[in-house]
Amino acid sequence: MSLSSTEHTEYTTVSPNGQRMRLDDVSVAFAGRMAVRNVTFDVEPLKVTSMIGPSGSGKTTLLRAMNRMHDLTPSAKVSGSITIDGVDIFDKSIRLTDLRTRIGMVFQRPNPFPSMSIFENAVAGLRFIGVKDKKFLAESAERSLRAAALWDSVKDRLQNAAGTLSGGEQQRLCIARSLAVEPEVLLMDEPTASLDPIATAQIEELTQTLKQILTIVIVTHNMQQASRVSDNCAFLLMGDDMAGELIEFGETTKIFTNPNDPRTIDYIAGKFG
Amino acid sequence: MTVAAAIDQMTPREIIRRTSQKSGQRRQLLSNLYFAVLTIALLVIFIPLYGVLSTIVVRGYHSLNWTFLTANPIPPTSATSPIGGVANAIDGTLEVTGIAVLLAVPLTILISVALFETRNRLARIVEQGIEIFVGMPAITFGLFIAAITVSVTHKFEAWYGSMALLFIVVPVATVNMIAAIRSVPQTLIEAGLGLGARPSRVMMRIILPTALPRILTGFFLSVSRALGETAPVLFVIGGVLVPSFNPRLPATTLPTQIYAYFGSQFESQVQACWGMALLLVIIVLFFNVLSRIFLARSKKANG
Repeated sequence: MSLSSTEHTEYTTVSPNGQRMRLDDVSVAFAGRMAVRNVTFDVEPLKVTSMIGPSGSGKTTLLRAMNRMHDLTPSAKVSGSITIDGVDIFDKSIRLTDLRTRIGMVFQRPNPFPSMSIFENAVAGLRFIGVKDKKFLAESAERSLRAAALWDSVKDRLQNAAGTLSGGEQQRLCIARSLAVEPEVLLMDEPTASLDPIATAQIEELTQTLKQILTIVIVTHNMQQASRVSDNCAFLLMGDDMAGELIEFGETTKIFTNPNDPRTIDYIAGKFG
Repeated sequence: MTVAAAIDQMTPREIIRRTSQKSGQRRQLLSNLYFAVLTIALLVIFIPLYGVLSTIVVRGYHSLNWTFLTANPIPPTSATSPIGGVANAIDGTLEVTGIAVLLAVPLTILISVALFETRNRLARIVEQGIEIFVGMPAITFGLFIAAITVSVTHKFEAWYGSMALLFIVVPVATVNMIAAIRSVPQTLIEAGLGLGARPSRVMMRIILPTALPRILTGFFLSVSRALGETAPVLFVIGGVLVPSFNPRLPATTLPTQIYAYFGSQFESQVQACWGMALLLVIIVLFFNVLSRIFLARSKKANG
């Protein structure tokens, strides 16, 4: 991916570059207390992988391990291996800042930068890595806002404060912000938890378009959402010692219609959680 | 029929309505009482504030004219002889406070950011030390600076006063700034890091801009305080009757001039004190308005 605008001929779509991620025996502990243990599964490229399970089962913890967000917490310890395109994300050759442009993240509550305009939010990631070319920034903003299905409603008010958008629009702006740095994987942490049903449907629809250009991992409490949007599904559950464990992983249709583990059957059927 | 017997015969719904009605009357009574207390509190705050401001304006506004602002003081010889203006004190105030602010801004930013990013015991101790400085009597800083400057060089210089004012400005501004940057939501910081921003960029592009209004308020508060301080500068800046426009020379500030004039035997000089007090209020107000305009502009520029 080059930053020189002359090499781009198509400005309206983000180029497809979804990567495979592999979690192998991943555990995360905080201050010595295990939060999620021995998780192994593959995140297939250009597919949506969902993580479901009751509160405390370690879904978000696992997701945040995938772009090394736990580096922020001194007491956190991640073990096992997580790879993107075959390279360990903890490898010394990988720079954290590069990794996070390759693996983007969308958070539970929309969190656009309040000190910036809609436009500046969209290109914030590019500015952070030092892009200065005005034309390139403008094209990137349009490209990513279009990809996030937000362009038409904000193109005439790009200079307005991001806070003037509705909750659903703000979340799509946050998605656009992530897309602008052309990530290969997008991690979504309950992206619709604070949105109304219409905004939720728009975000869900968006995941289906976005998976044509990148790989998506989505954490959700909403099982219908997991069954609607994801191709593969990981079901986690809190073990006896409060640490989350992977109970079952497989194609979403299989997990929801014919799961192997009785605990998955119970959870899907709404018997607990 | 006794009350207890009457209640016995009521349905649960009747009991609830009756209780609600009774407690409703009590709530209304309490509400009126609170309203009265708050009104009194408002008056208690408003009367002194109004008293101070109106006295300064009423007594000071005669003095404010071109001569007062641009002429140098003339020591009066009789009750009717002219006393000139306070150009010396205006120059001194701008010099002494200006240098203090110029040094305080980078210092405050450095200390605040360092304390925000460092999470060890030393940082906590330093932070508590700074908080203690906020409450220290200003005259102690004046004495300390005098001891290490005037006592050594045997000269009065305006910038010694700036050094003393730093002890006022930096702690107040730092405590405010740390609170301001700590109030920036963690989720914004994570969003920045999640986009691949280095921690330094997150600080420059997200944390500081988001906290800017509160940071500016902190600076403004501290500068306003410094503008009015007499004690820290009294021992070190000496006094002049003409503006020096040179920080290496002695100076007079508005507060020290007020201090010198107020005990005067000449009514004209006492009167001038009110003019200078009003001038200080206007300068503080000017910076207040300026910072608000700046804020509104930067908000507009950022969307």
